[in-house]
Amino acid sequence: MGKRPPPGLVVEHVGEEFVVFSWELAAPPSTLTAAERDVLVRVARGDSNAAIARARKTSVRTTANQVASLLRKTGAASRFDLIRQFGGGDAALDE
Amino acid sequence: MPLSMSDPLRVVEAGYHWASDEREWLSGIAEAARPFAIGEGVAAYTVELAERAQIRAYSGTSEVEARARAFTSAFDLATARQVYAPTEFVGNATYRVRRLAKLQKKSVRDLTRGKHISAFALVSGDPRTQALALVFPSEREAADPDRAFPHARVLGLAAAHLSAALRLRALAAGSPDDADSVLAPNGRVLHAVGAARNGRESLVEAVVRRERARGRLRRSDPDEAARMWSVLVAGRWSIVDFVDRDGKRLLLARRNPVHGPDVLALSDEERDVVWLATLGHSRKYIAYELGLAAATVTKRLGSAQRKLRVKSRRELLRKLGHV
Repeated sequence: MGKRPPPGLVVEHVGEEFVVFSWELAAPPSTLTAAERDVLVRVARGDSNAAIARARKTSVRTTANQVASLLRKTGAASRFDLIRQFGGGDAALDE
Repeated sequence: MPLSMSDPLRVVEAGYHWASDEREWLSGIAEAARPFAIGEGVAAYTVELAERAQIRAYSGTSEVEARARAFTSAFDLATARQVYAPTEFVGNATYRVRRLAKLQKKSVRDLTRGKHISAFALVSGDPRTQALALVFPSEREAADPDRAFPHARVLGLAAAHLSAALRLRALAAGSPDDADSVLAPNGRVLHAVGAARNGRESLVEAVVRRERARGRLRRSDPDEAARMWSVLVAGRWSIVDFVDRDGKRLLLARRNPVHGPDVLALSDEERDVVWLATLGHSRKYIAYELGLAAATVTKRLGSAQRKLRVKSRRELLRKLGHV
């Protein structure tokens, strides 16, 4: 989680003790290629470049380039910004 | 098998796991607490403390169940509330009953009507309405409960969270006919009727659904929301549960208790380092063990200290250290 709150953050209080944070996860831009979309899902759930490269059977360099173009196309400031904007998904918890 | 820092956390996670059936929920907690068992298994049960004291739901062996039921209904409501008063450590049932008997100037036999139960227990909940007892049956007796039950303080870390989980369940529970759909502000249906009953719902969804229906959610203005976010990131709130659904992320957080360490506020990395430190390992050894630079270990210990609001490493170890 980054220091800046995600855009459109809603904070609701449940009594004194609990708080619900909610925000819309951004839809990825339509200019992404199929490969970039797949990489985005993996980055957004916190996989490393090396893990993504292994899973997609590509080289780490290719993955790094794909992440770089993801950052450019989405305007995200960093990898963590990608996670914040596009969500982790349940998959991140299941593994 | 030696315990690890993740063992009390598994108990916490089982507490926050949403199961609409209370028995199923309890059996998850008992299962998670199994590494702490001292030979005779684990039982978990909830006690109703509203009109009279009685066990509401139970998970464990039937032999312990019979004893626990007789024990619980032996007390009048006021005494039962003291017997099942929440604590932050694992206590000895005998020790507690003996103290209560002394306070009431009665014999233990009179107080319990002979329905004594010999066990160690972690009691969570709200003394006025309900309690959750995590029970480790044992014949072992000792004046000092901390000494007699191994890892009593480590398991005690879960106590405040189990109380919170019990309160959340009360918030999330509803009668079957009010499983309304919840509409997002843009009109999209977040929850179709009946979806809540299929068991795939998460705790955060259940709480939000019920509280929205009752109109009890108070919304922060954007400035306050941003402030709350930074407080969350700083670790002063624990993330209880989160879910991504329909392009929306919902995250439920709990204010960390003012006193007492909150292990859920720590990141996985900090937790590993803190855990090895509580075992008495040096900074260099921890670095070697985890494949880190020694400076990284120092940094992570520092951020763990900040999050747990302790001033020194010594204080950190005293808070988290186990006997």
